Amino acid sequence: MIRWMAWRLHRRGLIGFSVGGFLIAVFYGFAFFQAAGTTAASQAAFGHSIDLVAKQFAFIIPVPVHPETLGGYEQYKWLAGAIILMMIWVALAGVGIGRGDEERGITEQWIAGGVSRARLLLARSAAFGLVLLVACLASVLGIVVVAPAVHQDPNVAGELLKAVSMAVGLFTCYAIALLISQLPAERQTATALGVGAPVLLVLVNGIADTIDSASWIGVVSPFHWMEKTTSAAPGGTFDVGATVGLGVAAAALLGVAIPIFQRRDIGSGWFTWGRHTGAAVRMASRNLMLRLPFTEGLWEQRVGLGVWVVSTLALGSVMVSVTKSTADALFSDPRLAAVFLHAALGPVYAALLGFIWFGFALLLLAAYAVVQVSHWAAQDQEGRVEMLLSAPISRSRVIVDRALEFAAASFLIVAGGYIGLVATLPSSGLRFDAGHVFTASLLLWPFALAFGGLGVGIASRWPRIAVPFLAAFAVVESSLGDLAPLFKLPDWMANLSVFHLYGNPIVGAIPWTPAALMVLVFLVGFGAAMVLMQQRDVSSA
Amino acid sequence: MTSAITTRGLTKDYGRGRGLFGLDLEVAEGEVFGYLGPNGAGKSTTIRLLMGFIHATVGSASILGLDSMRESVEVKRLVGYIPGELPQFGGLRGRDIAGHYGALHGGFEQARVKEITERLDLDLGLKYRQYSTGNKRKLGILLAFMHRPKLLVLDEPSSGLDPLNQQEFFKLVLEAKAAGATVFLSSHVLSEVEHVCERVGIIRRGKLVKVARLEELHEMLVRRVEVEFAGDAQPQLFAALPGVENVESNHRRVTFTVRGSFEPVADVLAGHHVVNLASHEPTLEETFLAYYSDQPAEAQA
Repeated sequence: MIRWMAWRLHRRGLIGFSVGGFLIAVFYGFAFFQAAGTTAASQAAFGHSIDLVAKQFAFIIPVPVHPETLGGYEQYKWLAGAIILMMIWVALAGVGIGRGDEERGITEQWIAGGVSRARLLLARSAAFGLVLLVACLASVLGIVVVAPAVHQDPNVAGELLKAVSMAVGLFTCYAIALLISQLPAERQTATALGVGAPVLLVLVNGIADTIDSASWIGVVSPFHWMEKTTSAAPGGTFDVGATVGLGVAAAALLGVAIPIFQRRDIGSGWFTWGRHTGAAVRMASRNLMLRLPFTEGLWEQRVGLGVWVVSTLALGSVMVSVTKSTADALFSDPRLAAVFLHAALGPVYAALLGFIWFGFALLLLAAYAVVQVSHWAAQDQEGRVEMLLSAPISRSRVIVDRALEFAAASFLIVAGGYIGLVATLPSSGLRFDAGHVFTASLLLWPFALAFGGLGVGIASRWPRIAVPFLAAFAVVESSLGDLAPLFKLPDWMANLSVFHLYGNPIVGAIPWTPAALMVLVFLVGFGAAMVLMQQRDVSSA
Repeated sequence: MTSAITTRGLTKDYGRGRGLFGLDLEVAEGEVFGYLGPNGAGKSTTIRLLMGFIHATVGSASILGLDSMRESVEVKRLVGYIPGELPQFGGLRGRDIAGHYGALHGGFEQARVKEITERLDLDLGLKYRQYSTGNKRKLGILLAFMHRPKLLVLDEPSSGLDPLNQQEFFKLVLEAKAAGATVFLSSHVLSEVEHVCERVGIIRRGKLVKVARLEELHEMLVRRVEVEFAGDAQPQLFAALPGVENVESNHRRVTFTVRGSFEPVADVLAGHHVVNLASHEPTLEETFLAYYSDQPAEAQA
């Protein structure tokens, strides 16, 4: 039963993360070979340069261990990122198993078939744990496989132990999301909180890693304990205590989630606020937000959008706070300061803020575009588009409303980030040109629009593949800047990246042409969507 | 009388014999037309073509004189629609969904909303995911009827409703007809449509095989009857009656099939002590098989 569940209910995630993880690990292996060369001296020099740059990103990615080796480089460049990507996956799986199955009627069927609630939750969790372990093993297997080809030690035992540590830590994140999903009355709230909690724990760990006086708060984050295992790098360590502790924490969280699941009603949360219990309502709403499809879309996602805006505001604020401490750490070492001053293309604090906040904000907005496209694809498959077209709404209008909804929502998120930034700047000890901060923040909007345009273009014709396509596109686009020099790709190829188009406007001249290009991508995407939407059959069947 | 719905050679070919083929149909304005067929026969495909959701492979469809695809927006101003299955509206409350679709149709009267929700006993204060199957169906009925459309296109609208609400729904249909609306109503159960329809079209394997008035359809029906007598069974009473076939007896029970009118059987039974009488309406598929069993293969298709 467990193997069937694992395959049947998680096969897309299993295949995507296993195959994708394996291939990316192989890819980075060859990238290491290209960049570090084959001699010990060239590899040591390469590792040293990674060490120097890594301190800027300590907030998000733990500092590397032996980056002059393939295992150390992959642990820093790929596995640390894989943990963040997989965190979103496991959190969504936790909410899906906790509440999504109920929405689809699967939970009722199983319980009606004589499966106890405790056994159901344990079996589903065990199945997902198995899938997660396979996906983690696939990522490190890519390193083991590519190692001989790039003349490096495969470090099989170390890689396997790293995969175990990742799987246990991520399973704890899953258990957190699963437990949280049992609590709210609404599934949307459960999703927002279930996914938001691990993201918050990443932040907590980042703060603990960056601000010495706050290092103690790291103990509550599973990412803090995952970082203690560095065995993917030769000479790294496998922290048995941290890994066992994470396993115990996951078991304890499951142990709390099960009795809550046993006591609550199917289809409801542990808390039941917001329930309509008064006299029957016989009137339709006159809410002005429901008058138009795009305002209705914003109204419907108001809780989720609120979480995005507040999270972006908080992230902007936190990242400005850590910029100063990161800079101080960087400049305390004269060699690091010299390297950074040489690399930075303008005022150093601004350059660092560009790396730390604006670089991260681009990823956030790309993630929001993927989430929004996922929402459109689900609406399409569930028959919402068909229902919309049963009203006097043209197919073109559906696309225009999507464009307006996305533009408004992404603007609010960008505005949230800007507010977080300017609210914290005065107390951060950093001084920036207000115009540059405003422009750099504002230009995040056309960046988001470009991603939205691409997403809606695909979703309007091929809704089923829109999400994996856009997610893969975002990963490739974000990596293109890093990988183009390593693989000696021509400039025009690197310049194709929307991330490249955004550039680093906080330190340089305002890139009006790239901004116009991003708006053009948005318009072309939505224009193509209009044409494609006219041609297709709309059907929920 | 002008046509509310006209199709000419309307075809949607999904391959492997699936889809809709060469549909020629006229539904008059003010008519209640039943569109019958077993599951997978092509009813929903027809409705999706009429609503302009999917493109015809060949052929055309017009609604109230407007092309269903090219003038889709104008068509929808005149149409109320119930899909075979309402989409997931998740956390939206019934009142939000009604308010949204009412506004998209150019506005609505709260009095009309109140009237329909009271008649169907529908609480718009609940969130969509809290609705039972029947309540979701009631919400679909509200969305289709609330703006008083000229044409109602209803895909299996009464499935999932309890008998009381089914009766209320049929009353709404008849009131819409009285107000001049046309109703195109699909179902796979004849008894659902016979309350309100004047004519029915029967579709099977993607082809329209019969358009008939309801009385004609009753002539097609083959009912299976079981009669239990107080004393010994008397099969000889039925063997010679018009339309009666397959007579069998067992102790005090007689079973037989009746094609067409039930009146001769009722006349015979009137003079005997009958302790139990059961008449089973056949499924539409059984009716087709019985009706077409002696027809050439071409006609059966």
